[in-house]
Amino acid sequence: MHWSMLIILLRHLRLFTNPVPFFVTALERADGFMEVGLPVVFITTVVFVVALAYLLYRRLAIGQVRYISLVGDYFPLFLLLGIGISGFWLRHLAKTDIASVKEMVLGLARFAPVVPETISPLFYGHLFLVCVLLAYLPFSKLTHMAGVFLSPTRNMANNNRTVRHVNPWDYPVKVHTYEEYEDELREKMKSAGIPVERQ
Amino acid sequence: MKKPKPDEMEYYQQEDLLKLDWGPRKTSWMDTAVDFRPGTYIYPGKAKNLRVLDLPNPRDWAVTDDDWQLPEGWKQIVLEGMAERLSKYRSFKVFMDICVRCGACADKCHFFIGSGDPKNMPVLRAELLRSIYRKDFTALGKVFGKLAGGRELTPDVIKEWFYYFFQCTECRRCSVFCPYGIDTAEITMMGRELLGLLGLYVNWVIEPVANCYRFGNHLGIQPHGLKDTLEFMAEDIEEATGIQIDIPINKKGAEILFFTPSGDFVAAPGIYTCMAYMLLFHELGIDYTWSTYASDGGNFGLFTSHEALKRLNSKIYAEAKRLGVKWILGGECGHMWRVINQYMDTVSGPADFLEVPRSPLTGTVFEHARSTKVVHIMEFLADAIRHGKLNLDPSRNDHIRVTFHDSCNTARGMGILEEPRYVIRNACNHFYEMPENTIREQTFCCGGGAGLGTDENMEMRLRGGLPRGSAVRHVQEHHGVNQLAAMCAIDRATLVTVCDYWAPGVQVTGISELVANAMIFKGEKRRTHDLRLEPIPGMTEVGEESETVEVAANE
Repeated sequence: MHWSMLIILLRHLRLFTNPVPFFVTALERADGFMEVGLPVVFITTVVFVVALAYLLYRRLAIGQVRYISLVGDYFPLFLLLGIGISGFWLRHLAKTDIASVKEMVLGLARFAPVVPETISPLFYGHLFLVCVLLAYLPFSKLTHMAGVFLSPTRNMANNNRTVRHVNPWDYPVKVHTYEEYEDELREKMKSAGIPVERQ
Repeated sequence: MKKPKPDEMEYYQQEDLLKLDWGPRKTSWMDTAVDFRPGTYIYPGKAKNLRVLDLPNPRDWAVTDDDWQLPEGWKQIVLEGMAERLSKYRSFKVFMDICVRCGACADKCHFFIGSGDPKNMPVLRAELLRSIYRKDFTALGKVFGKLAGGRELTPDVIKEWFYYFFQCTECRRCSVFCPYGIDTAEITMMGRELLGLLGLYVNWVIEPVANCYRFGNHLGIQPHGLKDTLEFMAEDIEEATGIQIDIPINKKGAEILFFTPSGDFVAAPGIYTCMAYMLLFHELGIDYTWSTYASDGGNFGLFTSHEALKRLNSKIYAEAKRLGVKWILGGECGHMWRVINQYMDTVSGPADFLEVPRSPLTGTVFEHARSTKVVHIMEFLADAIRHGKLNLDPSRNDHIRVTFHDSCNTARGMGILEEPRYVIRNACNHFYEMPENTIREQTFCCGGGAGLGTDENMEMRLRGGLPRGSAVRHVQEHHGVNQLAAMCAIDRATLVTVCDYWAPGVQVTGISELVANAMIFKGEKRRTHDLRLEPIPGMTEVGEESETVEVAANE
């Protein structure tokens, strides 16, 4: 699913660039090699939607997982599903006029917006969901990827016996010294024949 | 017959404990209050112990009280404590943020497997803290509250923390399966530290800490008492082997300071392991000393707070310096080794007055312990065996069919996986592994670590011990296993109960004990009895047997 998402993202570059970079065209050719339907159905689109549907199914169907789930666990699933399904719709069912979409997007990028009339409202829905995703992403669990790299159990070596690690906020603590210990127990130690520091 | 109480094993019927429901509960977990049922919680820390350690809010109270007598401004104390720890511990901060509630950890926890309580799923155990973190420390939580998974900090939340953070043995099995490596042990530790700020401790942990602070060991054995204890062991050693040993105590200028958990001074079967150490050191001519001041390698401070850990741990290097030893050797223990491996050098080091450990037997330099200067007895023995320095006759242990329980801290925490197996294979001819997903890094906890190994907590111990007990029963049924070796004092104490309950007939032993029983000592008498003074099958006449059993019973 992660790969699908990346490839889908790259495929969308077609809408932002002119001329279309060669790798985008190559990706499209590889992604659509099954040549099903017209326009060709991309494998990544299917994988993306099916994988999300599975994740949602799993969260709803497994009692324990449902029990631990929060709103923040469902929301991104619905959001991504919405984006995926509306995208599929735009390509295969609504047959969006890509030329005008590109005109509009490039217009936005140049701060000279144009509103072609041939774009369906569904497209704006798709665009809105993507904007929500971009805004939500940094605050959501979708930044979980960072955890893989930040987790101390993942990025620190288990070498503490070989190398000393210094604690930057180390502070002295109250300890019970040997002198205090011996002072309390000296007589008992002496009568048991255990060596002491002071008689 | 007397009716058993909740702190006795007999109180619990296996068929009752096995009526398990792992499914979700009817009410949302945030709205489900804790049910304090005898046998599932541990008694609170007594005021006198808190006073020894100058800990906050000393008072005598009961878990079943409605009012736990929290200090004035307790909420502020918790939130400030949380803020401080979030800034100090990257682990805490990251683990609060990154969980995606995928559920991979849920069925990996022995307490969840054995109890079915959803809050024993590591993910929910952490959510107990995370929900407060979200509410008070994150933007989404502040705005959306419950919708973003946050909740208000109330006395009921504190009670819940107390219940569930003392139902986690910090074994870290869940962290092995977490895609992000979230270590629930670290979360439990933080939870316990926060509870500590309010004076909420369990006595089973805080009394040993107080004892260890004052007398050097968890049991509060005073120096003359320790000497007596070791002398009793020496008498038993002589009876079993005919060998007289010396007991060096607080000996200045010895080469090695030896320390081990104090549990092994008093309770069977730990004492046999302790006897084995002394016997082995005597035979090998090792110049070592016990210390009465640093007479415990164990450190229940680990189960209290990082500060308490440091207060107890400081003694070991201080004593090594006072006695002028060259390096330190540590016995079989679990959490003691977690402290040595993960904290000791940082909190009490640098130990630059010591030398890099070098075995006097083989000349091997233990480079991996270059900085801490502390070597594990299994590393030491494995090296000695490898160089042919131990005269072992494993056939003496032929009546034993042994399996090995990896202790959480040494296996998962340190990676000491091969040394104990190597030593056991050299000391015993019949060694059988438990199923793969219950050993090595995936080992199951004994159910009584991290300060939970008390009888008050019997129901949870039996429940938590179910996975380990079932694995033991498996090898018992398939390979006729009759002994379980473990290199941890808490294991040796708690697995006895677990085995008696879930796999009756399997005894618990230390590894060094197996070595000492297999070893041929110079000048030993004909070995008819092992270190437990139990007759070795095939070595005694029928008539002799009954007499010795009597002797053992009188001890």
